[in-house]
Amino acid sequence: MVGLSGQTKLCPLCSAQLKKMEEISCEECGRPNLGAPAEGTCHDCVRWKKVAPWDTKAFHHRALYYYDPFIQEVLTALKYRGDVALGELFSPDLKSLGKKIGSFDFVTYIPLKEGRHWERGFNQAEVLARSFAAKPLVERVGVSSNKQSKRTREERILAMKNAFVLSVEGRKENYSGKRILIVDDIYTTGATLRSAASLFYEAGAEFVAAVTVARAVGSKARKKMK
Amino acid sequence: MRFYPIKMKAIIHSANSGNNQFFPHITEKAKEEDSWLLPEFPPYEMEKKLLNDPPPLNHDDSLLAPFLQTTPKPIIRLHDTNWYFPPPNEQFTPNPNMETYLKNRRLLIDELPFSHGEIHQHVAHGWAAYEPGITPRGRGHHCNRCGNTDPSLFANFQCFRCKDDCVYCRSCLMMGKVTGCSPLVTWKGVSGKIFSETKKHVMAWDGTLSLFQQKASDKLCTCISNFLQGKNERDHFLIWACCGSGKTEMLFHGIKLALNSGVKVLIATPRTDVVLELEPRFKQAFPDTVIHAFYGGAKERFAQGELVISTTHQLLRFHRAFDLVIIDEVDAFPYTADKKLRYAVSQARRERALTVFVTATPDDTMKREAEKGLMECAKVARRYHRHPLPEPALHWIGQWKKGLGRRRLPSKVVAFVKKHLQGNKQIFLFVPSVRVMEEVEASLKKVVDVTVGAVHSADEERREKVMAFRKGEIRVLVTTTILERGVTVKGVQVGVLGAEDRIFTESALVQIAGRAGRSPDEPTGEVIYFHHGKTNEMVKALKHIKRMNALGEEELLKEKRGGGK
Ligand SMILES: [Zn+2]
Ligand SMILES: [Zn+2]
Ligand SMILES: [Zn+2]
Repeated sequence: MVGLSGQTKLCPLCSAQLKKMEEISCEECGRPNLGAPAEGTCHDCVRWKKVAPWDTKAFHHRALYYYDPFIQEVLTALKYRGDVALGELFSPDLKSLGKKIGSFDFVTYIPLKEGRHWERGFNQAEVLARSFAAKPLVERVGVSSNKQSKRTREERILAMKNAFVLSVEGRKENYSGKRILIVDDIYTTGATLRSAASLFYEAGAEFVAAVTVARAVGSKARKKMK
Repeated sequence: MRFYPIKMKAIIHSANSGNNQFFPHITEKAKEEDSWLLPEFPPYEMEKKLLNDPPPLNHDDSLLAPFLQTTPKPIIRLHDTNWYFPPPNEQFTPNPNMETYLKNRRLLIDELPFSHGEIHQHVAHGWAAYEPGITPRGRGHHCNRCGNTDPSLFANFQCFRCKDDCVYCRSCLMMGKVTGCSPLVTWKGVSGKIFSETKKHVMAWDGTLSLFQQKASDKLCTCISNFLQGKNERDHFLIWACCGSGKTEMLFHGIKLALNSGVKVLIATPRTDVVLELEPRFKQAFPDTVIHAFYGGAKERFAQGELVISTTHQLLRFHRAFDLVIIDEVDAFPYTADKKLRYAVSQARRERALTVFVTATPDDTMKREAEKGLMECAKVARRYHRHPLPEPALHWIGQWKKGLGRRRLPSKVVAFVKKHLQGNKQIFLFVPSVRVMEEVEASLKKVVDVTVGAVHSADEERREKVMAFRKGEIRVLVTTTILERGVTVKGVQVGVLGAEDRIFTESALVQIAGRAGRSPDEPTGEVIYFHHGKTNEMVKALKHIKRMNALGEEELLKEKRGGGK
């Protein structure tokens, strides 16, 4: 069971169990370095660079922790059990992580579809973005992300294409030459974040980056970590 | 979620409200100033057209329109008005599936596989009703599902359902989230009994009760039959049964009596282990009775049963459901858990109900109430095998902690272990903490050459280790108080190292001593409290056991003289 000590911080016991992202091997997606020599840009990011807008635009992502069974338990308690207080634990750390990347003109988060949002009663990404002056600039359209975790990489990328539009509020802003940061809970393939990021590039943004709580690493890589 | 609180005055005088599935089918006995709660339906229900007619949000009725034009409010903010719920409409056929879910329960909308439109339709026809999930209390809150009032166990969040800052209960979160805007739904319908009240329940158990069990069983049966006839003076009954007296069998006759009178029976306990142990025994004893066991991880969560076995947590879903409530091992958990269990029981029992506590170690309050006659009590002083309980010995071992830091066990403890290993016995060694457990395990391994095991509550291999101890593969098991009850091993000898620690209360020490001499083949065993300073709790535990033995002796004598019954 994940506990809270005091009002806002992770208790030392929980925090000792979290695996912090320290060394990174891919400058773009923040893939962790797991002993292999640094690649500069990883295989996945090289593949993305063949598709617009990534042939000309940069993508940048950093996570706080590796996605492992412990953080999975914390995020499950947040998302599915609705223990919102847990999300607020990570928000200040995400803000510091964002600062390390640079300064931003807009901060937003990955939205939920309205039905899902009602079911859950809140949006975990919005909770995580609490420490920022984040705005709901993006809106979800098309297929819901229902069983995303069960899809293959290709299926996910296809499903995520055109999954977002700028929201009513988002359409009021001018993104030309601006820097935008997007917050979400988990980075899996990056398809979700890249899909939302491409909206801002289409609207003239100069740079779009993302921060998440946890980054999934492939099963091979996970074995190496042990 | 939010509701439009509409004054009944407007509904009573409105011409077309009664023909609408969103308003009460009848306004009988409604006061004009009472409120009717019209939900703001979830947007996805509107999208999917789950509602037959759109809700009357643009109602042209001039009396209702002003209410519908206001902003709906989260249910927690409506507690200052009286809510009107009509009596059940006999012309309306309720969804039987919904009745199975809701009858005798109180559930969140999220736990129900029905649209809110359909649920509200049942409310409008008087078959269901809403209650607030959380109500303000003083400066804080009260969770109506679990009784939590601890401010540190509530948290706030920006809620999409009520578009406002909303509170939720962290104490019962495992059962689904109760928020300030969550209604709890209850069933109001009376007809349509799920079980026949004239059904005959057969008891397949045909074992014999010991003299002591028989007496307790008879007393319980008398109490239950008085209760069934409305003649009981007290509605609490305590079975104070020493460890190893066979308490489950004592309950069978009373339960049979209750079931055959058509009342619903609950057995509640804080421990999942106990639920899992009791379920097959009761199913075997009552083969024709509908029995359901509820615990975290159980597949069936909403079935209706004639006999229900449940953990404290799962009990929170029941509401005014049981006539006979039996609470097993009420003292097995610390005070807070106990408080939760009591709240859960107070909600799950019918207004008129009989509560039976079964325990080897009642707390002081319960003992006092039993002595004063405020609670009926049956004492079971002897084990099933009729031998007395092994009485603990107290051995002073000085500053054992110092030696242990250097991996040296007190010589008295080493001698105790070695003596029994030579006699080919197994040993249970209780210690006050996980740290001490680790140190004792390491120190023991240096002085004995048998398999030594160690367990604590968070040990993932707990079950495997207990199994290995039962099989005799592990000869010495060092344990924290987690194994103070439940584990029975033939011929085991028992030691408590550091018995002066606060964790060893009278109840813990009595339970620990109760591990020894369980088997009729080896009804004796040594129990030693190794300590650095005698405590009150140790003295009380010793007294407790001696008294039980004396009482048992007395009753056996009475039996010999022929006055046993
Ligand atoms: Zn990469
Ligand atoms: Zn609660
Ligand atoms: Zn709310």
